[in-house]
Amino acid sequence: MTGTGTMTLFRRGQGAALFPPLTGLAPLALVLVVWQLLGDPDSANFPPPSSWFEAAEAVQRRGLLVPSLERTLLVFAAALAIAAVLGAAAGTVLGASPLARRVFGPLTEFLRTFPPPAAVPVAVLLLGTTTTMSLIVIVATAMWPIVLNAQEAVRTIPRVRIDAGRALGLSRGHRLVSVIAPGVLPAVMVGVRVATPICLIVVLLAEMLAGTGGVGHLILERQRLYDSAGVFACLAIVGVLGLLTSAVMGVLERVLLRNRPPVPHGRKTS
Amino acid sequence: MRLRAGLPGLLTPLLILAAWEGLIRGGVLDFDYLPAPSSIGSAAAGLAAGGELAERLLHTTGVTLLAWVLALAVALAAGTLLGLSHTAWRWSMASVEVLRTLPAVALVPVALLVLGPTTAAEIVVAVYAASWPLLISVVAGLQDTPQRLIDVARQMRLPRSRVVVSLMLPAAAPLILSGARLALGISLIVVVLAEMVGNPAGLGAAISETQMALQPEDMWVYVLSVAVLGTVLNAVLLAVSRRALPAVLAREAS
Repeated sequence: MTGTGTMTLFRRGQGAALFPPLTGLAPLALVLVVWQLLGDPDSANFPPPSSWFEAAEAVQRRGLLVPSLERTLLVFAAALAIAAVLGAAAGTVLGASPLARRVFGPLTEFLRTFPPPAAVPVAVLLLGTTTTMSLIVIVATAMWPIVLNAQEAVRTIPRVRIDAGRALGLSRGHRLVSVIAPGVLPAVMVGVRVATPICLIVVLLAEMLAGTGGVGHLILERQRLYDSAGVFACLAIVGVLGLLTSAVMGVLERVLLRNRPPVPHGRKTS
Repeated sequence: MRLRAGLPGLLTPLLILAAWEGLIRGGVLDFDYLPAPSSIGSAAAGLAAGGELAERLLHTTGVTLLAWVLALAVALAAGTLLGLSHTAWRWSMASVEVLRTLPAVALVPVALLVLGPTTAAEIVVAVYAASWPLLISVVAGLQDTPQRLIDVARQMRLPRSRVVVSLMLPAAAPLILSGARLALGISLIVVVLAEMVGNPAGLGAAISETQMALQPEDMWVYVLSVAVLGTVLNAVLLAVSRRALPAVLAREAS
């Protein structure tokens, strides 16, 4: 479902996307200012931004905000790390072995398009509302861009390089480390960047649907209590989370891949 | 993406199903809420015969597609503006980039708050969520139009509107189509979630209801229906784009 069309979209030219000029923030700022000036503080639907801060403080006074945020970030980071490792491994196997592709291809296609909200209740029934359950669901739904990118990268490693490794008498393990891994790493990094927003979405989903705490749980709970300022406060926090995680991944990718040629344009994986 | 499923590819799911059935019958696997495939099958037959499954499926499919079409319209209009006018791009693209990173699922509670547990809430939040990938792909596609095409158009003195409709948008089509597939998946996710936590209609609501009523057979039927729906929608759109743009897919299919 969440193919990696975005990957090519943001690889115009060299390196990762450049942020457009900051003047473009004007409409967003304008909306918030007008909202603040004209909004009715008692509005049940659209409380102005200043009331979001008060709502956030009120939630924090009851000791809910910071622990929720911590939990969400922790689960997110753990899930993304596991997805990166598992996804790279699975992608390498699928890319290197035509047999594995033939045997597991249709199955991975099915799993890849499995809508995450439907996966959560299944996991809850089987494993209960535990952190392990959340991690399994999140990894299982967010790892696909990484798998596909790694698979594609392994398939396109020039035959010559693998043969050169053979000719030099490198062992299988050694070839994996010094021939395959460097060829796959850039694609894995791109996959991780694409998987980042998906991972955050599924973390929030799991929290909403399984009630395992975290910001996702908090926002739904605020909605059920008709605390609209609280809902908008959580939404703003989630927005900042989304912005920060994607910025961090963009920077990380640039730092890790600074000495490598860019991934060839048009490597589609969807 | 390979749709050519060979024999081994089809065999694997069958083997897994057989093992699943066998392990449960044999009492090796004993989860409380893991029914055997055969009991899921008979539950599906029951729900299909009662017409409930079709009704739910129709609701979710209809809302997903409606939201996707609306998002397509919004994104084509706004994207054409941002892709063609450098002023518009400079003065609003950063807002798009910021709003795009907001995880769409967090908007479901907001929509429920403002619009209540209604189908309108489902549609609004799904349109919002599905518009971003489309918008981004329309903008990127238009800005990447090969200079050659524009030169040719100039040579032929085509009017500007004609250039956009007959040259630039078709040139951007591959990118827009991949954005469209992304958007369709997102639309389905958001719709199902909105049904699970809000609007009591469609497959999403059916999943929550059967989960709470501890009817695992029925729940599995609805869960698998959502999964099949996702796969089918994706496959149909892919087939349509293959038909429409054979040249692009020759490159993609490698």
